[in-house]
Amino acid sequence: MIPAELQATLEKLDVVTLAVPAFVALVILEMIVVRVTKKGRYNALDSGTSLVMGLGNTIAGVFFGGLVVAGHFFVYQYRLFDIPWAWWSMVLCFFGEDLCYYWFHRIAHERRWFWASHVVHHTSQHYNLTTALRQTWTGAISFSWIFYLPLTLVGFPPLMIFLFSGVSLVYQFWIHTETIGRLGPLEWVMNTPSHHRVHHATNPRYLDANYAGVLIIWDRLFGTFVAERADDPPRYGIISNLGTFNPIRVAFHEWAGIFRDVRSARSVGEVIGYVFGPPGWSPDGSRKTSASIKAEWRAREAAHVAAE
Amino acid sequence: MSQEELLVTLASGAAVLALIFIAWALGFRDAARLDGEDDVRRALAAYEPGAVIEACFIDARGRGALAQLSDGRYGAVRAMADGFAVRTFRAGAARVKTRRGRLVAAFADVGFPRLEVRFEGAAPAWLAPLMEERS
Repeated sequence: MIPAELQATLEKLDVVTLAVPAFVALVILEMIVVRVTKKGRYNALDSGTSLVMGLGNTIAGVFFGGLVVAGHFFVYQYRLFDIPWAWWSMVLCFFGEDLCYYWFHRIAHERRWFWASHVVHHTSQHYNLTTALRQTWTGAISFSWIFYLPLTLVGFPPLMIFLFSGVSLVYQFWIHTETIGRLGPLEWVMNTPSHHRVHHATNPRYLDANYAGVLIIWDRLFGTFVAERADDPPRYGIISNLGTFNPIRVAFHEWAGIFRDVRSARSVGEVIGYVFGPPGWSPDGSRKTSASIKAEWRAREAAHVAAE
Repeated sequence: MSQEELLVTLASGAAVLALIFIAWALGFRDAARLDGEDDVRRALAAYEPGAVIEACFIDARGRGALAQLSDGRYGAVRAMADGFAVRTFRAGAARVKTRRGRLVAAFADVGFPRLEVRFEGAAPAWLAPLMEERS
């Protein structure tokens, strides 16, 4: 067990809000480093959009965060075990949260309902610390938080889970940068700037890879790890990059796309495909999905090798 | 929203404005331009490898372009700060019209708002079917 006073402090700890001054300082530092070294890219319009999306995410949290809290405490009533606040349970919760994050994040890329919310984070064509702050406004109301409920059901206190979700979010801030190269043996275990650059890239080789939050071990374990290559520098953004910096359009464009597609659907199967299929799914297969892009790329590569 | 939450939100808003100003003051204001068909081709190739341009029509300021592709489709390219956003589409999938020296193309995609291409003189003939087949 940990001392009651420490538990009370941890239960109230809002690590994300506490980290905001450091976020601001690090963004300014990175801008200066990019200006001086020319390593990395910034654009005021793009960063402005990212920052406004981050601010909107905070405001959405104020209005809809209660849904997440209520959902967790509802499930907590039916917990299988009474897990106390203790060092061992906090270590387990850290690993459990990171594993749940991996699956949330993977499914957020593989299923359009969750992608519609998560896509916001990938809409910048830049990769810098402000990109980390480009966050969704619809995560809570689209039930993206259900992926953490298994931890609650097992018996981890919801406030402990929220604490490590915050820690994960703060950790993931610094890896959104092009100013840091590879980090030696840390690359084996930790999610690093290099691994996360791959995750944000639209190069076919890099699609659907490196979903990790803090630990890259989950990608290595579940076969989604791809290493960054010097001969294939990442190109950032999404397959169909946005033609707008309007935060409202950024926040809701994929939801509008789902609505439009569902309205044109001719069967229940099509509705399910449009809402819960992979992003880019269409009844006739005429649109691009990750799988089709990768297949086309592999065919081009094979043809290129054959021609040589 | 509690008073504390309001205070945090206002402080965050001030920090956002300050960071945007710093980015602007540090000179991160590059604007991409389309200076010719090669630029349009490069932007389209990044979106759809293998796309072949038959003809293209570039905005007088270099901020956008419409292209006719060899497979009968069309391409729209828009400068987005220092990058580009691209869409390909079939005639009928966009509403295209001319208005006071501008060609205006409207798409159903919320993430790709109306594209305006300024031009001098007359619009090229290959755009005619695009406008006639508008939906």
